[in-house]
Amino acid sequence: MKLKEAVKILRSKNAGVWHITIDIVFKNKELYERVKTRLSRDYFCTLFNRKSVDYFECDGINTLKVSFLRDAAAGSISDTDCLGANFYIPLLDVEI
Amino acid sequence: MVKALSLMGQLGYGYNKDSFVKAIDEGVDYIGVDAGSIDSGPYFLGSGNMKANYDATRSDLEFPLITALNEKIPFIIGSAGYAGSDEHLSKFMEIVEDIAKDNNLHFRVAVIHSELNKGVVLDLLKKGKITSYEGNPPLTEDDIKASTHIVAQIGVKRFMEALEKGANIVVGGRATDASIYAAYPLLKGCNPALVWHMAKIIECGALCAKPASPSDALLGWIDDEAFYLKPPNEMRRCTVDSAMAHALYENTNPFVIEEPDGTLFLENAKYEQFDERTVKIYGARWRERERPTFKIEGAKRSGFRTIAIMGVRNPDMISVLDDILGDVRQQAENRFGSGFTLNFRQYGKNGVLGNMEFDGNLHEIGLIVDVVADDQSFAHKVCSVVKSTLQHYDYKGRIATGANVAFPYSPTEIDVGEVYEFSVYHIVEEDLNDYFRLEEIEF
Repeated sequence: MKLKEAVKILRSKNAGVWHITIDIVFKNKELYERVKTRLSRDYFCTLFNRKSVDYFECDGINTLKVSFLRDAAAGSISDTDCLGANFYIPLLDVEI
Repeated sequence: MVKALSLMGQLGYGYNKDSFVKAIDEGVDYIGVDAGSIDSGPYFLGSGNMKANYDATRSDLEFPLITALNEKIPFIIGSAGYAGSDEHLSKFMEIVEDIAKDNNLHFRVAVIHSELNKGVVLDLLKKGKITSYEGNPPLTEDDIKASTHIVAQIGVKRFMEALEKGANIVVGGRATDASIYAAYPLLKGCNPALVWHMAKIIECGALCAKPASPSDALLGWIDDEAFYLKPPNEMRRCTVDSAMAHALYENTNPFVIEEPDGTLFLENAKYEQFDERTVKIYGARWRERERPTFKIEGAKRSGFRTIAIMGVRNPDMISVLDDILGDVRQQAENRFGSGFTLNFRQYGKNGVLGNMEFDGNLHEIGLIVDVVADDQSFAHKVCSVVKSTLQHYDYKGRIATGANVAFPYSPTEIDVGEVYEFSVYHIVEEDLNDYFRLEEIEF
């Protein structure tokens, strides 16, 4: 099963000028618990090539949330995605 | 009970008049609207220009403003003119003035300034009162000096003061989205945890409903035990899922939301379906800060941009495009030296994800030659030369000697104008409320 089939919401968005935040809201508790044991802070550090990320397991709402600093402030000359709205793309087809 | 109407998620997106009228008929205690953000990048703060232009802003503002005056409902606008500098405020107030004149209306507006003098910010930096925001690079004196505008996201204090003085219309500079909606119910003595949680969700209008829309209205009301959200438009509904998901939106931390005046903790928040289109929410915790802290934002000009857009379809050229671009870059540097930044954006290949791209399929590339230089004429010249070098580049195995790329536009070079970048996005650990001048303007 791919991650995109297990979620109600999978999105990324800028949170202010310097941060990206990714919300993974699962369809149900079972899928959430299953994926929670397979993904980790380290997984997202590697995937997004970050030294550190903030990683939240939100048990009450079957949601995983990941936030991290972007390489440069939103809208900088080298930026490709001012709203940070495409950082979830590498997660779509992850096998879970 | 206190009842709020969020006109829409962002002034200028085109509001829904039917929803607005329905909500007013139902009866509301105050109207709020967020008119700005930093989401659209550094240009607006840097240049002093509004994002939604005069016409877009006026058409969303005129009828609600007149209604608020006629019905004597407080109407609170935050982040006026998009980025909230004095220049934005004055452009926004020109629109308010025109509405007053053209409708022969006479009223007073409370205007709250949020722009900070650079000298004040330099002093704060020297005193060690400015810190990084969640790990971003520290602020320097040069960043401050180079900024064209620096604003603070104001909190709730001045909004409350304006309302307490009886203001019918309040136009705030850059403000936290929640402060716009928190001022009135706090003044009425509602539970601060409920107020701030509601304010945090309602600020995006019907974006927290299903189907979601930032250009439609949302009603929110607070009683002794909870707050409730309902879109006036009957085609939408607020659900547990839609409201809960929205509480996560744009925040780095799902459980903690920092405001200038305190911290909202959401870990015990409860969401219940109240009726078919209404969600009931309670259980958040609010901790008031002993001394407020503020987020400050600034932008500086980094140059002028010229771009050229072209398509690359030849598979032989696509297979060696990175080498070609590397060589063309080298030629540009040899010829022009420094004083410009050249970016190639390859849509269809990695234009969106950059280094993170994992899909190697490609048959066509949308190529943007993106040049930023110290002046427009130099940017144009570099872009033009790079473009023509690409057009005629004699790559190995080339058999099509007409032109290498497809140009959709004539002229190919597009002068984009001034380019800005964020120079300040930091936290000030000192009460800045005294700098946020409250001004009364009479029409």
